[in-house]
Amino acid sequence: MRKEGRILVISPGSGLTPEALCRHLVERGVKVGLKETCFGLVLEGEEEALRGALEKARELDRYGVFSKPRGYPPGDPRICRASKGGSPRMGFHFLDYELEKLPLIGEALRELEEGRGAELKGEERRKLPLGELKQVLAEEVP
Amino acid sequence: MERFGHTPLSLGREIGERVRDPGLDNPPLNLTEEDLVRGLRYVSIEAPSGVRGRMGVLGPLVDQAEAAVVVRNTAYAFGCSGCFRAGLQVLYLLRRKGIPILEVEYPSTREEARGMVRRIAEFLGGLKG
Repeated sequence: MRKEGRILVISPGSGLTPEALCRHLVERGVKVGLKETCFGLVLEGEEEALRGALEKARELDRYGVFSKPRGYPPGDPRICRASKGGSPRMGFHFLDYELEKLPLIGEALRELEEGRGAELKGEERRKLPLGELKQVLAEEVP
Repeated sequence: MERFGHTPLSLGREIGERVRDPGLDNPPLNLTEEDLVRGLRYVSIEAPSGVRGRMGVLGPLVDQAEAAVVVRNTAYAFGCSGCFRAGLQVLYLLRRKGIPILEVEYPSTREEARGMVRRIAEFLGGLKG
């Protein structure tokens, strides 16, 4: 079976730490390779096992753990900073940028799933009928 | 995508397939000559090699795509101009393909984040039916 890599990123708004998440997954006996990082975990394993690990990780914080596929295996010497002689990890800047947005996205997902925020839908975008436009003109341009 | 029951076409997964292939042993390059040749299906030979190489990986993903969510206002996050031009080419190919496309912006406030998530959820929900 082909192996895949996956990044689990902990949102800055979450109370979780990479260590706590790692321990939770190990205690639940997930059959994937794990590596703790500063932003969360890097996982490697078969697709089914990865999906199971992701579900178990979300048991801890459904709106605080995000994931995306990763190309290289954890600790791969081809892109490891130790063997490259420094410089940021490939994809670091992108991850760093997205990390800032995760608390907002998590909060929005929570509201969506709890059915809150529907009242904030706002005015629907559409072509304004001529009558309404005339009315706006009359109000704005005395 | 996965939270709403869809499968994202991921660049990470594509790269993962290549770097786990024992034939690829020239890091930090993660493309083969086949990828560059494949790139010619999507851009002309005059395109910069960075764009052509990326299109060799991204092009087949565009072919597989059934719908697209484009996130704009990405600031510096997407790196060098090769990435940006390849991104423009992907957007062009997506539009030419005629599949449903949703364009949203990276949020900076809670209101924008709510709007973005709601629009994506509605878009993906509409695709199921």
